[in-house]
Amino acid sequence: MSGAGGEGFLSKLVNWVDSRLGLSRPLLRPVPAFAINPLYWLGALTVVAFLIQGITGVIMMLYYVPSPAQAYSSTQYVFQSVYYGRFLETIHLYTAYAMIMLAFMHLMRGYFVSVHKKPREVMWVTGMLMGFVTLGFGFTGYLLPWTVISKSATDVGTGMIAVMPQPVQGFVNFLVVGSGGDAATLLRFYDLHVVVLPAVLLVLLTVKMYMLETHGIAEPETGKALSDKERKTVPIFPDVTLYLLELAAVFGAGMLLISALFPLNLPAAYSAQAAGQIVQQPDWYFLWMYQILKIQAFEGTFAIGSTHIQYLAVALGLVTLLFVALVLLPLLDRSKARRVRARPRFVTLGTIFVAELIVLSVWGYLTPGIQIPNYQAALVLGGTALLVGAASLLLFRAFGKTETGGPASKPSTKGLSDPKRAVFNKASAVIILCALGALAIGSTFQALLSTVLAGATMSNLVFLGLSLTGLVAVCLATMFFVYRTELRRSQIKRRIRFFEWRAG
Amino acid sequence: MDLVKRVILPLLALQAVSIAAMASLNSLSSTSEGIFAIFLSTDLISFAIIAHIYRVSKADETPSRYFLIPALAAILILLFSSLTIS
Repeated sequence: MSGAGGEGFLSKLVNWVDSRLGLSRPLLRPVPAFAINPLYWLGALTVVAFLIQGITGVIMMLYYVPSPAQAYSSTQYVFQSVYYGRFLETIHLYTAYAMIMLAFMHLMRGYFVSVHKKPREVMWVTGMLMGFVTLGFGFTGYLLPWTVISKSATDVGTGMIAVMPQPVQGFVNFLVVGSGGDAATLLRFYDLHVVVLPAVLLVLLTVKMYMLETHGIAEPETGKALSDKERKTVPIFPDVTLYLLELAAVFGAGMLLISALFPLNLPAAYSAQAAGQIVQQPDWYFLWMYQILKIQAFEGTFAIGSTHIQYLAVALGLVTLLFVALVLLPLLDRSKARRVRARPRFVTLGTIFVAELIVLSVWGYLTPGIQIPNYQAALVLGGTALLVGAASLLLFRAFGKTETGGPASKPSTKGLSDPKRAVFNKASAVIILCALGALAIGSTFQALLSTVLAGATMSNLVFLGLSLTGLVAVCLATMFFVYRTELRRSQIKRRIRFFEWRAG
Repeated sequence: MDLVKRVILPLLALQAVSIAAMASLNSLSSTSEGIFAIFLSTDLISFAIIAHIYRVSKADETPSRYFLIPALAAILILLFSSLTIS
């Protein structure tokens, strides 16, 4: 397959580089062969995105002036007068988006394959902090062009500071707003974006790399022992380096093409008048949070003693709690099981989390500036949680294993005793089915009503279709549940293979 | 002709040509931005293919057709689209 001529030249080139730079010396530990898979390199691709950000950002820094009077005009200058300026700005923005998306995918992959477990707990916390820094990059960078959209979106974020508790408010004000006024805020954002956050990210990256070298890449938990071929290690240079460069090149090519296909157009400059004419909306990666804050329940204030607290602060507190829970995941998920099939609760929670984020983001995009009535929030968020949760739990019942590694039909004897567990399982199944049934019936009724009153529009028909699908799914789940219950009572003599647990 | 000569040498030639083409573009026009992106993407994908073939051949394995075919197809599509744009 390979030719001596060309390969000889490449080999000589690689050997030349190696002999001069000493890259093949064991500076970094070799990588096991099972890790030669793109899913293991999502974090590395995030770093590649960060590097592209750094390079394009430094070029833009040469022209950018961080003052409200000149921020927009200097950005416009880059767009119009700098060689490939618009392209540079576009790729900077899209790579930032890719960096956030890759970091999120890296986080969720880590969550599902349990990389947060012993001995990688500190690595997990470091990675989470890096994720927050990445979001910080997005937040601070978005303001810099000083367009009407970016300033309004940032105002949404900085407006949240006012509802924070006093000590936190003081700290965040110092960190983000500075001495007050547009000029101070812009300068603070710029400093954070180009100095503080990159420095913090580099320190955290060093810590994480050190820990990766200490603990190595987590082995996949597939229930089977790794083959010799998978265990074989691959040297960091040239093999892993080349593999990473392949991925980086493909990623870079993708980003270039997206930037060429959807070039950025600079929105209008910020002015109070222009800001009054647009709907304030944060960028897509904060839409889910903004959508939560738009729920009617978080309007107004309540009093504890003489202190008046905004409900918005409660919403912010809930979001913060979610972040804290993610950081402290190694303390919350302490079982030794790492396999996805053996962690039904946490995998279900993770799936619900991802589904809710997607639903909230899409919903936020579709309803800019519109307050969300409580019943809608309950219907959509509750419905998503129940449907995804029920689907996930059903899949686990069908294909999963218990946390002790045994089949799902033979539950762990830890905790509740078996009869109590059976009652508990049955009761929770009934509650879930009733809730899902009520939800499906309610939404079908509402969809029918909307279709009759407002006509058979596409959105109404989609809503109706989804509701009916949900209703059918609930009916099937109920049949399944009844079958299982009756089977246990020996009321059903003929077992249906399709409905049996695989492991049972 | 072996794989190296059949694939790597044309890709190296393509990279050289695309770099020359990129250098000749008017860097302030928006059409040029598109062509520049296309050529740079072509270069990057070519690099990925060369790296892949070298890495895999070194380990006495066969280059993955699931990577090579889409990557080469992408290069062809990109080159055709650059002609269309220009």
